[in-house]
Amino acid sequence: MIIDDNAIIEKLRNPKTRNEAFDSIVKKYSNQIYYHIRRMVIDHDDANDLVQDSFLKAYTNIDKFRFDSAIYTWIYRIATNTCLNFLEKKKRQFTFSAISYEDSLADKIESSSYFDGDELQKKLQKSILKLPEKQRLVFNMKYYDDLKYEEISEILKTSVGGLKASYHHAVNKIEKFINED
Amino acid sequence: MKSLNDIPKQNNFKTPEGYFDSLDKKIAEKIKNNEENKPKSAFEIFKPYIYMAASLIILASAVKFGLNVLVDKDPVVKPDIETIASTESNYFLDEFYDDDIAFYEYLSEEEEVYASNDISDEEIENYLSQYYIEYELQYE
Repeated sequence: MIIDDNAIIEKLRNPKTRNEAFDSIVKKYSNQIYYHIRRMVIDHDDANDLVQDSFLKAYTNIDKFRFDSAIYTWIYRIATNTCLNFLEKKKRQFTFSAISYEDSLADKIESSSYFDGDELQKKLQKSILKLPEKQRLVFNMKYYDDLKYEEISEILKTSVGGLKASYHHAVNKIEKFINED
Repeated sequence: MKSLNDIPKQNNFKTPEGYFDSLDKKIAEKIKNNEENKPKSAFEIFKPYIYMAASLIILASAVKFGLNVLVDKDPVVKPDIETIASTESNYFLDEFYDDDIAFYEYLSEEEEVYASNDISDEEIENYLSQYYIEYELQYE
């Protein structure tokens, strides 16, 4: 049963029902958050670790949750920061490697058994990987997660105008990459 | 030239079979493990000792306060006459003694006044011989 966010927030306010409310948040948003992370890190195992870390961070920082904001933007924000920290760390590990971290992700799209798209879908995903991280986040949240610019603005703490421009540039770049060669 | 709209919007990322059925349990397990293995703060480590020390301080304070209430620390002792007499620095005695000296000195001064106004022996003799003779003549 999917519980309404307002009901979850009411339960979060009460220390006695807080754990129950948190279980509801996990059930309601874990799938969405997993795919948000997965599109950024590509690898299932990494996404699995990061989604668990994100919810753990949310649980340990539940006292900082502002009850006037939406639960999913709060969870999205935690997951996004967890993801960006992970990507930074990975890129540092690839500093002296022959290939970049983004190239290694492109290889995973090509070879992973957990990716079942056709050649065009693979090309689309590889094109998205060529975008700068923040632009990639904006594109994924708008294109795949169907979030409104206002919601993305709340998550990334960026102006709506900036997000619109970022998405527009991302689409242009992706179309350019797809039509190359 | 392909546009983004020409590409079907799909989710091509797959997960192991039944992954989402167990994800909430994995997250709950991770939270539980984290809570159990959470490093304790210095306060939590020393909490029993802090409570013990605080209890001892409270107990000691209570005992001290109780003794102060039950046992009269400075009882009022009425001094006897001998004690007063043997006390050289007794304020009232000193006061009395000083008054005594002053009185003595006053008397001495009076004597001196009388002494300074003394009538000479010759005058007394003359005075007595004059009146005594008259007395003797009248009554003897």
